[in-house]
Amino acid sequence: MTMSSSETAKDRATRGDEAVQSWDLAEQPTQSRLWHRFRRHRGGMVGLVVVLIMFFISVAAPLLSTHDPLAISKGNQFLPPSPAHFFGTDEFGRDIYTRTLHAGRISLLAGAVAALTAAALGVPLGLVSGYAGRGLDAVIMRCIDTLLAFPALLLALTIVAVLGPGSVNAMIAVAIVGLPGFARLARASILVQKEMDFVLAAQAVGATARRIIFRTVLPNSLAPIIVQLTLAVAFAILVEAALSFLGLGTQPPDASWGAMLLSGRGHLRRAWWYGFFPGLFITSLILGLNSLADALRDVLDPTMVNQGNNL
Amino acid sequence: MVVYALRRLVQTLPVLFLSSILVFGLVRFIPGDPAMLIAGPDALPEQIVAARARLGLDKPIYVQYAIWLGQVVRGDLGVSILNGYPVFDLIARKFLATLQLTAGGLLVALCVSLPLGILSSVRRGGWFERLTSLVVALGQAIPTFWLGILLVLVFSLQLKWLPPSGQVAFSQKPGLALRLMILPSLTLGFYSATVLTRFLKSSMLEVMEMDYVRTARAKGLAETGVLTRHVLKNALIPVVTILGLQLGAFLGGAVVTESIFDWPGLGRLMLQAIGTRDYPVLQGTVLFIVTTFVCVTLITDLTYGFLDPRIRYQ
Repeated sequence: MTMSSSETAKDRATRGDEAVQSWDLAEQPTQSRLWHRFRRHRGGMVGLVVVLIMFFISVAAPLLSTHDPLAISKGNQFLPPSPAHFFGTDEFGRDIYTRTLHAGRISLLAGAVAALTAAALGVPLGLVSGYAGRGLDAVIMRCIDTLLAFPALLLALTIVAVLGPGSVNAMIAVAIVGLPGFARLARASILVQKEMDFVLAAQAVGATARRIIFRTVLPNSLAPIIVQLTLAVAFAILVEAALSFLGLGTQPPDASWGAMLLSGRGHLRRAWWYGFFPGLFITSLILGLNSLADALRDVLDPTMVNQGNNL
Repeated sequence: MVVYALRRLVQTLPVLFLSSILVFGLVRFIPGDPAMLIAGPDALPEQIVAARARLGLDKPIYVQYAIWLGQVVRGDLGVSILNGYPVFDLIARKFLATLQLTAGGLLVALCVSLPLGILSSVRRGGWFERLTSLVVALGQAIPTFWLGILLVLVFSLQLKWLPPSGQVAFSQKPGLALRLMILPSLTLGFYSATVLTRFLKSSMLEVMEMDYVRTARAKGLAETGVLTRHVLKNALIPVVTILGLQLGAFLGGAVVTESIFDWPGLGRLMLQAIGTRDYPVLQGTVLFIVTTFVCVTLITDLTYGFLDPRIRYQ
């Protein structure tokens, strides 16, 4: 990961800046053309399918489960994978397959809520900062720089230390950590568009600042924001899992992938499967989301089309 | 260059100042009264009042901040609530372990990314490039904590080649110390290795398209000479920035890696401080890591400006 993530916010912000600069407003393609381009992107299609599968199995976890995720079963501790328990059992005899599916619900929900909250706060902040310029811009951007001065996981850990452990507090922490990326992206977007004719025209006919920011500029900034949102969901899932792995995210007996890996780590000698399957699910989902984000960047940014993915 | 360096320094100071406010403020937000915590559960009200006065908690918040900042600047980060040790000494002792791990991670990142980045840009379209792409995609998706668990499963528990966790000083048992460093370094460095590979490859490909590279080839210079003296030398410049950011990532990632491998560094110190609600230690550790991160970023920017003069004039 990745947690590896302190630079990630900056990396993503930088990528966002580039995306905005290369986004040619004059060449906005239609939805059908975008879908056609996306379908031709093999990596993107694979990513989309993986994400949809993970979404489906998480939503349908109660239907796909073979056991109760919280049911303790004495005498069934540490059973290896078998037709009765696809992914084996844990130290309380609970079915790891069932718990892994249910954990996906928490991870996906945490990732989506945290990323959307970060976007909902960061985008308006960046747009207002970029449009206002001068003093307000300097104040907001110094605050954003301060958040970026913290390695991402460190900031999330500190916030959770203040708020207390738990999945909701972990989501709040992850949202705050993800906020600067969106703010910088939106600011870069408005700085590019501020001098364009259509914005000057809107100003000339007397449109209010709010109208220009949210009705004129924001719709033209959606492409890089969508890409950033996809990456932010992946990032949020990873940070939430890391917090849970450190014992500060989702608390027992609820299942989350990070918390399962934390428990599994203590029993690696007896049960390799305990620390294996939850990690496989996280990695697959992040791989899918990253591929999807790469494809969206290629498809939504006309200057990147036909250049392919560098790697 | 001096003007550029001064400008960057001036830009860094407000960030450091605001970071110190954030760290101070966050810890003050933590529920509970530090004076009660220090005075103990059986303390009398007057003892709590005395503890409050001793800690300066009876003063306005901005005065408390000014006093705290004055102490921090003089290297006084307070004492641990848990054991009474000076926080600065605790951090200094643990920082060496984290520095050792960071060096290991950096070595892994460079040893993996340099050959992968260079070869995959030179041998485009072949199996090597596809394999590199796969490694890079995996490296950016696999969580550090799962990678650590997998490495322990394979190399410690199955193959029994390496010890699963712990740390000893190099001066005591150099062989064991080195063996204990391998898995944590691989865990910490793998993600950065893939990030650097990706950047180095795209940077190499960009430089290869430059006119001066074509000229070098046209004048009959051997391909190895073109790659090392003209392409790689220039392609590495933007990679320096990424490397600097990765050092910051190591400081964050160390929390997870140290937790997996029972590595007694800053990350574990911070986790213990959170677990025991030892706020001076938590405050001191976070401030120390953030200051280090900001300084590394500053040095990276200055190095970049030194290597590429165009940056200084932007």
